[in-house]
Amino acid sequence: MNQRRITGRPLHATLDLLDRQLRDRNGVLCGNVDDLELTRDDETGQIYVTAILAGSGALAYRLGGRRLGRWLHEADRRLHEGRRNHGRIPMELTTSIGPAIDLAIDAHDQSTHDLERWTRVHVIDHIPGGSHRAGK
Amino acid sequence: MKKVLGVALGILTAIGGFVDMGDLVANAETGARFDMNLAWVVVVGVIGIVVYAEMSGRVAALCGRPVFDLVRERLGARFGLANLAASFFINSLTLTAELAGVALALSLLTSVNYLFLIPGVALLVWLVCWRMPFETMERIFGLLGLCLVVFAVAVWKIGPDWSELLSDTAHPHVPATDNGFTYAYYGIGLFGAAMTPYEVFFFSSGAVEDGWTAKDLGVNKANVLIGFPLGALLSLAIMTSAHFVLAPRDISVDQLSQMALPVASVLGRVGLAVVLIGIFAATFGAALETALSAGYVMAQYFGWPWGKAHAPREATRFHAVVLLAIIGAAVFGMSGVDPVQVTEYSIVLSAAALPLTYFPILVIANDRNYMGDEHVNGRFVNAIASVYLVILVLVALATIPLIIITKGGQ
Repeated sequence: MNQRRITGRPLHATLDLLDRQLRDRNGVLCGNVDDLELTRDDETGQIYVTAILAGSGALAYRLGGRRLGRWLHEADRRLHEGRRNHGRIPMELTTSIGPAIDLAIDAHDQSTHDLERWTRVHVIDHIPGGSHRAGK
Repeated sequence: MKKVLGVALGILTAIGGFVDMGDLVANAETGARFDMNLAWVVVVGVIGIVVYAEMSGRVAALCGRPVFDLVRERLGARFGLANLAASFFINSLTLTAELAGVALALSLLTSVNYLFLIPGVALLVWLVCWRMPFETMERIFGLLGLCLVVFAVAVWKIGPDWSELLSDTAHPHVPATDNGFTYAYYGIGLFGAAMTPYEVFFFSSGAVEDGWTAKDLGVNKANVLIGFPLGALLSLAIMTSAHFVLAPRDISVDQLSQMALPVASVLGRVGLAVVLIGIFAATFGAALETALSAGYVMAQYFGWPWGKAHAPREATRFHAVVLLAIIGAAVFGMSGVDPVQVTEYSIVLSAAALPLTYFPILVIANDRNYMGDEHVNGRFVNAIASVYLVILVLVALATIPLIIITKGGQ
């Protein structure tokens, strides 16, 4: 294993990552860090944070409703078979970690935005004036 | 002029938070029932809200993160969710009370039963949430709410013996006719009304909506230092006027119209008209604050796009929650529940939920990763804020037992 030098400040996964706001490349808010995916490197035994998990399934799973969590996740997976990442965002796609976490993704491609889209199509677009900023 | 209007957010937050249905009722009620013996609670409350609102505005200006975002982040998903449930519930009760309050103010003007007016009021509140720019909203309702200054004019016109009034206020005692429990119950109600969590939800989200940055820290200070004390002053004026006009006649406040009585009896019809406009603006402002806060807390907990700075179709879940909250509150309000009682419960219950909201603000305001070395809390602010956190916890623990012992302040 090559010894990598740690630069910058060390991050505490529960304190600096969990429950932070996610932002896409355009600054659109796109969920929270609901859970983290940890992977053990078989050779070194080191544990790495390999992905951010976002979405109601991940949140319910972490909060203890294992069955509900799995069910929500499964429902999401079936609804969008093979189309999206089901709220799993690989750590490589994070561009900065601060009070909010910036991601090199597009919110609209994410399954966490499905309900946003559904509400737009079925509710908001039926009400006049919803497509302009207030006062414009 | 721009500078003057810059404090509109603070004035709206404070008028809507300090002289909304909750305070109108609590202040008039306590003034009529306990004379000036609970005035000190308003003073304790205003210092607390100034300290914590300033912190929440500073955090929002520096890192763009509003209060419920911090709540989730520092309390974690589970406690955050518990707080969300509690805050959303209390907020809905408050929204119900405010809608009824606006309708009651209008019904005094039009003599139409307020129950018929609630749907129209709800529609208006929603329209403002849906279409009116945040700044315009701040200015209109913040400034109109200033009409409530007539309460102060009424007190001045009564011409009390100021030194006696001041010494009465400074030497509070539990009236002989009362056991200590009801006194404590109303005290907690006043405190809860002064520090209601939706004030910081709204204020910090408003700071993000207004696009505050590090440059606006002065504006933040001006907002809290002008807005909240002004709100507190109006609260005290309401209490004092009730103390002079209602208490001697043994009138207890169980209707909104009785609250306007002191002004009407001293200043006549013009006074009454102005006070009704003021009540309308303050309760309408508070209805906006609570309706938007319903969307703010939900969106910020789950990380959805939110805010009036976006077109509704760019923040669809946020707007759907606001709409549903307004509809729910209107239906509950029209079911014939007593709006004054709903108000009382909402402020007393919010006292029980306070620590969960204020603790994360204090933690983040001390975090150098968020605030930078320059803007973290100083020792003085931390000292006051810590004392208040202890008070908040004690108040929260006492709330539920007191509701039971006093049977809701009977």
